[in-house]
Amino acid sequence: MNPRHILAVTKKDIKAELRGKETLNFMFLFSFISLLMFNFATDPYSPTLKDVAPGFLWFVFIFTGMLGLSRAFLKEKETGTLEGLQLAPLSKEDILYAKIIYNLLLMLAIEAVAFPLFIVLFNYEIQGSVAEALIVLTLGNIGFVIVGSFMSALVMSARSRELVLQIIVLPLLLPVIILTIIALRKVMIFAEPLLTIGEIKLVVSYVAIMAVLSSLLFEYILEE
Amino acid sequence: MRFERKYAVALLAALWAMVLYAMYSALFRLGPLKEELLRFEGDPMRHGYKIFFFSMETAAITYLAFTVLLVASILYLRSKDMKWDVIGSSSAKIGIVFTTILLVNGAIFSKVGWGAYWNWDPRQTTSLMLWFILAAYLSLRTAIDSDETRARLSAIIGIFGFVGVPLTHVSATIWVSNHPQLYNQAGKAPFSLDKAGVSVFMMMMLGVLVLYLYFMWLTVKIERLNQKVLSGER
Repeated sequence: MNPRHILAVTKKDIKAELRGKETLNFMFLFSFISLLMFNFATDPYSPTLKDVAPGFLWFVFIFTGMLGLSRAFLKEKETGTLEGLQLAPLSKEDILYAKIIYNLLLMLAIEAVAFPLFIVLFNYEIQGSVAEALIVLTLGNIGFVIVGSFMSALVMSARSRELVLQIIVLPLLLPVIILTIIALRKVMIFAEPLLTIGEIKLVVSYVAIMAVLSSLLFEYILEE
Repeated sequence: MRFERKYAVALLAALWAMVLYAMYSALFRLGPLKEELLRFEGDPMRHGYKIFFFSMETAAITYLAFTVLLVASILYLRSKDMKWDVIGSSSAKIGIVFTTILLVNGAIFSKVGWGAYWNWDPRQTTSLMLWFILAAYLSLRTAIDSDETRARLSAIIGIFGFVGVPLTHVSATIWVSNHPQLYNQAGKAPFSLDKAGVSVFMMMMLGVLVLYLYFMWLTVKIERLNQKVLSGER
């Protein structure tokens, strides 16, 4: 693990993305339109909206993230740059770490726009601290991109990859997804601080296990 | 050879008789739950607790199937021997059958004990997660053409998927759950079986274990024949 190598690959991905902005634009538009859809799914004046809205927000992020993730390694495979990356003098895990950081940045960039949009569209008032809500969201995102980036590399050689990716990632992430929704709901509905500490601990430990497994097993994905 | 098969059939028949006897005992010979454990007058768990004898074993076999899958996956990645891939995938196939039975049993138990077939109890939810993981494992296998790639990638999923097993096991303690527990926080058993109950449980366990092993043997054999046919050997 070499931080300079990781940053170099991440920088390359960001640069390539900023030239075309393909994924970023699609992800943003998708998150916007799905926020609208979810808004129509409920009565905006219903009192239950406050309870279900945090779940909607998180699902918008998950589905938007899926859209970006399925492209992460596929792009390299399609353009034939994966071989180049493998030939470069960096350890294989560094490629994975770089992709994880890149995907995380991508998701956070989308969320930086979608979260305020959500507040506006749902007319939502967060009762707890906004910082805690952001911490919970970011932790959930980290878990999501670790498993997601790893699995998007894994399904590269499968048929109908995008479909298979969802089927594999969602069950493995079920604990993270559920815990993040619970924590998000708590922090958005109750004013009392640090109610979510139990969920945060569980998410961190689960994500840590997933991260260790990912870095241990990544070399087996790339060997042909 | 023929001689051995005769013994095997006799042994299986004896086991089958034993399991039938155990089922009969569980349903008709065992008494109701102790009065002090009942939650209210006319609690359906009075006899409903006997679902335990039909559901606990399937849970144990589900864990076993995942463990076999984990070990076979690790051994495959280390040795690249197709034998381990066959064992792992067979265990996953049988595992999904037992997990389905577990979920159905769990739903019946849930209806009797808590009033709804699906209660979103942490145990139920995490068991469903196990089912989804096995389903994902098996669907990934159908989506890859090359034998070697299929074995390698699904072994990785097999290792990842095992994470769900300890999670399911501790789910009833780390989350708020109605699921009955074998041990409470102080390490004492709030619910214990009498001697007859234990012997019924052991008989059922043995029967289900042999069923798992038999399915394993059969699936591995079919898979071997399959490979032989596909590779054109005689």
